[in-house]
Amino acid sequence: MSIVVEQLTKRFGDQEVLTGINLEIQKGEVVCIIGPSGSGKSTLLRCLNLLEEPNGGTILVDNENLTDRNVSPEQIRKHMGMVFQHFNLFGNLNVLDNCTMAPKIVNKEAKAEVEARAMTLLNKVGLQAFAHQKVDKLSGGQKQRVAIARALTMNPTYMLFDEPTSALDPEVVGDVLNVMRDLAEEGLTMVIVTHEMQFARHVADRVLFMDGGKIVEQGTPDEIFGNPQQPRTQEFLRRVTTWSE
Amino acid sequence: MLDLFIDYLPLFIEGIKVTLFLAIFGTFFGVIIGALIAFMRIQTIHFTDSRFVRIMKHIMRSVAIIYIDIIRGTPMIVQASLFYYGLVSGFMPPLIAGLVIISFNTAAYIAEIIRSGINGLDKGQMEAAKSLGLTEKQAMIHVVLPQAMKNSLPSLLNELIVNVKDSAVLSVIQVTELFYSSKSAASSSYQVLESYMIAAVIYLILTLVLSRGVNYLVHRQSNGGLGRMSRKSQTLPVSQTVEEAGL
Repeated sequence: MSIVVEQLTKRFGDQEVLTGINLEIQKGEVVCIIGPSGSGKSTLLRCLNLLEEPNGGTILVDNENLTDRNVSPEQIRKHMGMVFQHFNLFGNLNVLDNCTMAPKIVNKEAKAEVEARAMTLLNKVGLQAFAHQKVDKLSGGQKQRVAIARALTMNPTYMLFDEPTSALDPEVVGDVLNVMRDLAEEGLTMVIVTHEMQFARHVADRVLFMDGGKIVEQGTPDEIFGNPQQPRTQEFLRRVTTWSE
Repeated sequence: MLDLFIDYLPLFIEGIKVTLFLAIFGTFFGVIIGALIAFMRIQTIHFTDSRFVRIMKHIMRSVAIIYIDIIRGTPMIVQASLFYYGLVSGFMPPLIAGLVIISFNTAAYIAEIIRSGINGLDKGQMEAAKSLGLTEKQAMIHVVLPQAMKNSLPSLLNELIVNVKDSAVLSVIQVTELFYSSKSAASSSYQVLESYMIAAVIYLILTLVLSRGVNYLVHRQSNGGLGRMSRKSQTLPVSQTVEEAGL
């Protein structure tokens, strides 16, 4: 059970946003991707569940080649949850239905079974009491926790997080990160694009630093944050920590 | 004029009934057909599509575009005459032919209303649905369309009002709607001015009642989502609020 990315390239028009990415993610691993805006972090993540079309290279998820036309993207996506920067909760459904819709439609699961699981997950993210609320009544932090519960209700093997706290008020960032830390401790395989350096340092098994469409450096959090080898990594980390230290 | 109205009351009542029937059911079927055409119209080719799917999508989109162009580019009176006298006059009653015409006519306009409702929706909704394993069609049916329809509701109800008035052209194929009734009243009573005045007043009442009803519904709907707006107007000075209300 793993994700293997080989020589992945992605272009938007003339601009190459990913150049020859090689990456391997093992089951149970928590990988944080850091780097400046426009470095291709989100694009890499969105290629993993084919929300973006790769222009070259291969992506193997559990030995299935995503870039093969015969593999349906739905088959991959139902095992790979995604949490978006702007939550993208379904505006026409309440909190519980947001969570239960996909298992009911995609996996044809029985309503009672899915609802019980969704309620357990909503309880886990601290929002069981909001199950029957409309989503537009929730705060940003609450929305993002619902979005996490929604993705988890599909029982995914992998979870992708695309800057999950970037659109949140500072005081609710912790609520979301705590939920994510709990998931990491339970052994869920997670790929997280984030600007939360402290979180990456404490929760990640491995940290990737990306710049200019390439993985510049990768290693354990201690290696990347404690003793970065590449000048670009050193510069980036110095800049992002200038104000906090 | 009142005498005339009372004398021909059954005729006018019949006319009102047929006009409302055509407007309401025509718009209802128009929404169903229009949603289908809008769905065909917005097909975009995706990199994961097979060659067969690509060709099908291309055909669907072309058919929808041609349909919308032809219907919107020709007058309904011509469509009605062509369809009824040219094709079905022997075996289809005028009322049913009229309903078919108004449904397929309004569907072209409704398709464009729904399409802009779909395009106006945050594309993150589609992405989130896909990320959970839904196919594009499932995402459309369960996530995108319900929201696009809700956002399009004011325009769709406006289409209903338009149909109350536009159904008048169906008198050309002998549908006994309100305008047809007033024509009959005019020719048998010789009170031409009065007959058409009555028709005008009834149309005006119908459209005013409907448009006020629509405004009420739209206002109530937006009060749910846009509580901010009403709070803002509370803090405005009285003169400004009155001005805003158009008083």
